[in-house]
Amino acid sequence: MSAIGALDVTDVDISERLERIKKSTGYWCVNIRSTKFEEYKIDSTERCWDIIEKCRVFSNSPGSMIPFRWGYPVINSSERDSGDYWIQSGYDGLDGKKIWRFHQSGQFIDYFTCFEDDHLGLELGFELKLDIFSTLYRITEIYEFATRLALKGIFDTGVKVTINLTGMEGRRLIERRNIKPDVTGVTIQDDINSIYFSNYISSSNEINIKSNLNSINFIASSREEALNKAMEIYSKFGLNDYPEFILREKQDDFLKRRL
Amino acid sequence: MDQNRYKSSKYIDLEQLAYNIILHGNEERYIDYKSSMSWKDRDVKMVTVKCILGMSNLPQGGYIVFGVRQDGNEFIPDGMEQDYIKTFTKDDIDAFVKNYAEPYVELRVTVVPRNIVGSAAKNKADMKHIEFSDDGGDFVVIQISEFDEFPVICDKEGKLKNGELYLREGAMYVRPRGKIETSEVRTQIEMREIVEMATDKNLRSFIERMGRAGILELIKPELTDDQKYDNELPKEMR
Repeated sequence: MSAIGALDVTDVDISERLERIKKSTGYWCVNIRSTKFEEYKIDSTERCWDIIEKCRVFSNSPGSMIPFRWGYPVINSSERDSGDYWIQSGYDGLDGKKIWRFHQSGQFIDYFTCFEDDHLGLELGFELKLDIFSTLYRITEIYEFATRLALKGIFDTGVKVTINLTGMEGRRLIERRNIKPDVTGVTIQDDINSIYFSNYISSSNEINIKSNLNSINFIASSREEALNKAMEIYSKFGLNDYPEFILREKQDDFLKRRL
Repeated sequence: MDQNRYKSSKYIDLEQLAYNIILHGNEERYIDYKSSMSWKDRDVKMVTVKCILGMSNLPQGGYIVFGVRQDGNEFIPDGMEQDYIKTFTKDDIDAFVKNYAEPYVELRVTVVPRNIVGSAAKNKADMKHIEFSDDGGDFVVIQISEFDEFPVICDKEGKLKNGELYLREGAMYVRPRGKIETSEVRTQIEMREIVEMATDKNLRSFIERMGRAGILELIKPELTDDQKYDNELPKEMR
């Protein structure tokens, strides 16, 4: 594995990182690929880095990618690796673990832990939660990222997006409330003031959502698709009637970096 | 009762044979009933060989049961006379059939004891209308296997005792659908069934040979796009 980049870089043991992610209390797996495989759709790994840089989605959302304020997907300067036909980056901290790969075929795969799973809180006996808005923001930025890849011509025929959430059994949906800007100016959230949807608990350990659209339709409808997929996840918790206009407003604010 | 004869049938589930075949109650393409008779009789041999040739060209072969008498529409499991049973030896039957079958027919000859058939009869609800007497003889069942590779053709002319031509050299015998008899192939449907059987067998044999030769390892099925994408991922990420 070679390393690219001017800053310090380290080769990440992907097996070890993935094992830790998979052993966590909950994690996401995101896969974006074309409907037609072409091994060298992108002519070099350098070009892969260029595409990722240009397609990354930035937001101000505290629920989005704390601590990854570097956008989606995160490019961590100390974890910037390249293989023969792929590039890779990630993050490993107390507040979350993450690793993604982007291949010259255009396939993107990303594993990350549930940021809601505060380990200190879990040690104190707090239950597992999934925040409604964070979930919406996360799916929206995934779909936005996929749309930008599609606009680059990575997916000629069609786009497949698969998102698997694992460790969902017994997890409770919550609606976190924003409290105040922290010292960096970013609004923080407080579980104590969150609204708990006491009856909305997942009975399934895995939640799987998929989109399979031709590229034009995907670009045209990715925001709507993201909203629908977020609501599909809520429904797995038994929540089917959350006001859609609120979600639309939140999604719009998120995409316009008004949060 | 010659217990040693029955030991040769140890790989056959005699109760199943009794229940499903001897007590089936109707003749089918794959079941033919004959009353008690001796293998020493030339006409019996002729009739039996014709039936064997026909069943060998049938998918999964068939059974000829000796010891079941037809009475109107009913088939009565009387059993065989003990002296007649002794005449049915596998070697004799094989040797005789071999003269008429080209390339060959695989047979299995089984003597099914009456007590086993009686026990099966008690378990068969639809046998209640038939009195199954404990008195009577055992049964002889000839099991005919479906041909291996090539359909079986009659290799020699055969005549009955009265001089009537009964088996024709070069004929292919079948058990036609809808008619319980053995006859020469007469329709293209009958011929097609046999040709398809032979084609399937040869194709299967060819593929098996390719497998043994390791050629199939070289013929990888085309991967789907999703499989190709999965393959480029590390195992842990799939």
